[in-house]
Amino acid sequence: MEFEQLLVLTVDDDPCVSRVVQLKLENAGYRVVKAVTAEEAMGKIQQLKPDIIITDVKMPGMSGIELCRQCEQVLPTHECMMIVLTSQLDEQSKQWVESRPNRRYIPKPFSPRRILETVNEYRARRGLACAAF
Amino acid sequence: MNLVNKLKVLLSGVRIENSKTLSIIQVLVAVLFLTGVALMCYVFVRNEWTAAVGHVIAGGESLTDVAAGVCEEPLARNDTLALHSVVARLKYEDRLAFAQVSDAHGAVLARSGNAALAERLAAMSPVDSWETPQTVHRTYHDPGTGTLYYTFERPVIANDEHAGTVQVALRHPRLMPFIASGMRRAGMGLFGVALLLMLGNYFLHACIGPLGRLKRQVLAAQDKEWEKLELDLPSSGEAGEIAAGIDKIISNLGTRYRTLADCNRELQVSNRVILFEKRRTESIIDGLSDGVLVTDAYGRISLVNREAETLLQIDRKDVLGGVPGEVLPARREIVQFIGADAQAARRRTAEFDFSNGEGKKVVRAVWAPFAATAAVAAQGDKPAGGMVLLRDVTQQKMEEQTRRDFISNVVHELRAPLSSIKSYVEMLIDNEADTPELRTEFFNTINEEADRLARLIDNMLNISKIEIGGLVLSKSSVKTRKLLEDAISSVAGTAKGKNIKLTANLPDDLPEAELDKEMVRVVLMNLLGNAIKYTEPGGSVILAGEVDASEVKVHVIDTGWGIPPDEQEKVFQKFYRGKQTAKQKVTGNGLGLALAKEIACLHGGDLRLQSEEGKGSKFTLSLPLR
Repeated sequence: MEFEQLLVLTVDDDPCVSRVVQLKLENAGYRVVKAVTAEEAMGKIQQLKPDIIITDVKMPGMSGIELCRQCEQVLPTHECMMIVLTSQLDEQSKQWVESRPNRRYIPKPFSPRRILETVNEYRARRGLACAAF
Repeated sequence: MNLVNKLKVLLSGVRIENSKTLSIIQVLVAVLFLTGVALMCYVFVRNEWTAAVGHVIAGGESLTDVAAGVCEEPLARNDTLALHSVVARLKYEDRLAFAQVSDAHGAVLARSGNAALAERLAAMSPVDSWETPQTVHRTYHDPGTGTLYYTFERPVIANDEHAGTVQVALRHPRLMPFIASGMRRAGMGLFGVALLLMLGNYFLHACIGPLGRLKRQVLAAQDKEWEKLELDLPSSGEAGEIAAGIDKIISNLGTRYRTLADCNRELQVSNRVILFEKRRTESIIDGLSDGVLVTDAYGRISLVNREAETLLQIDRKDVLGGVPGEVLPARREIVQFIGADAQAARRRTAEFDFSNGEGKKVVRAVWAPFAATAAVAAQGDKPAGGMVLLRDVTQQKMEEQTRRDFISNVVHELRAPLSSIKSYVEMLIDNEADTPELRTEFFNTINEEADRLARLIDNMLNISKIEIGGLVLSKSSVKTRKLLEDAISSVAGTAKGKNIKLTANLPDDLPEAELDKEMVRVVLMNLLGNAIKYTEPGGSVILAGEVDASEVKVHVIDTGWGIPPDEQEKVFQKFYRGKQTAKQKVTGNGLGLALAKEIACLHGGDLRLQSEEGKGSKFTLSLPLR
């Protein structure tokens, strides 16, 4: 297997953020879909089963953290990376996020480069894993 | 022994009042004694008398017998001389009145003694007479001398014939000597006794009299009031001493009593003062805005003030004197709080959530133990009870939470545009915007985000000024029409860019109003900006004005998305972003309407909303003219 076009789902109520993430990752060869609310995202997750989810926390309705939890509950076997992109995260949630290797916390203001690096890193791991397999 | 005891009992029953009786008894006894003595004297005298009489009679009989014997021979010889000498010898006999011998015919042959008496007696009749075999006794009473005489006659027999008669007369023993000696003796005795009795009586009265008086006075006084106590007490003798002692005691007690009465009055006064102070302190405690609950050294509730009653929803009647565990069953946390290390003498603070009739509350409780007194300290480390202060900090908590939320929101909101600016710039640096259109888009976005940041900071500054109370409206007379027209022109370009029809519906007679021009401008810009932002291209926005006597109303009507009913209240909250806005990818900071409403309220006006989802919204700003 060569170049897997991983699917990225970005969830943020701020269109600027989604735009930046989308542009950066699409330029790097990923497929990107957007959701504006966690509820919308949930639907897309179940439907499209993205490999990477980049989500804000503070959104109207369900929070990003809750979205991650529900995702893990609903798709326990689905392998994906969850990146929490937010300007502030309380200690408890931060610890929860960092308790698993497939979850990351990137604070805002964020660097699009860093997003790309993180995603590439995941792809590499996945690739390796697949290769190993 | 029994008898002695009985006597003692009898004597102990003798009381002072009976002194009269005693006197009477004494007198009776004296009388009896005297009577007895008199009787005895009488008997004695009578015995003496009888004995004396007997003696005389016996003497007379024997004398007569002897005389008869001696005269027998002379009578037979008719020897008158011999007869004379015989009777002469008889003369010396004790009590002899006379003695005579007479012959058989009764003629007196010899006589000695009182011849006249003999004659007299011979002529009288006897008072008494009796005969013994040999002698004839006769008793005569001589009126002349008033004496009784006993005569003894004895016939003399010589040669078996009656030769003559011997007659002896003895005087009755004189009463006087007997009586005199006896009486002398009796008299002395009686006199002595009488003296003794008198003395005794005197002493009795002397002793008992005063005592009796004392007793009467004391008994009469025992139920009288102190002030009315007047004792007429004896002053002499032992009773006088007792009386003086009693008087002193009474006087001392009286002084004591007066002192105590004074003390009592003072105590009453200070009691009233203390009571007043206590009531005042209780009123103060009752008026405190914090709840106070005091427990004593045994853990029982000793004080509850009004605020505590309200907070804990209890009545002080039901809990005073009780143990918290028993009387506050519904307030387990408080009970535990009081109970936890209740023996430790240190302050503790805790916060409890509980609901009472007025809803959910957060109450801060402080346990302040009372300083242990020396006495209590001796029992170990037990404090002498303590005080629980309860404060309703619900409001405070809410405000703290609001402040935390505000800050967290502010941070979030500030970071958002900053983040966008940074990421777009980074993208440009990394040449991710590889087409001119993309680059233009990026630059525009950066510019807009910078503006957004600026607006946000402005809004927040205004909001915080309002919150702190530092926002002061500088009102001036403002031409309302001009203000509105200016607002319209400011947003005309944006509206045109979005192809939204912008109309002004302003009446001609819009008056001048006392307004803070800048602040009202901010409101108008907010409302118009929102209207345009939240309306689809092709829609319309109308600015309408109307005026009545006291206020001017400005309506901003759009044909935009509208606001659902459940959000219509919330849109005026700080940082609130509607769900629709997120969906439609419209940026905003959630502060515009909050600020607009604050400014309206500061003017004394209001900002209202009417909206229908899918149809549009109508915001009405009302401002008083003055």
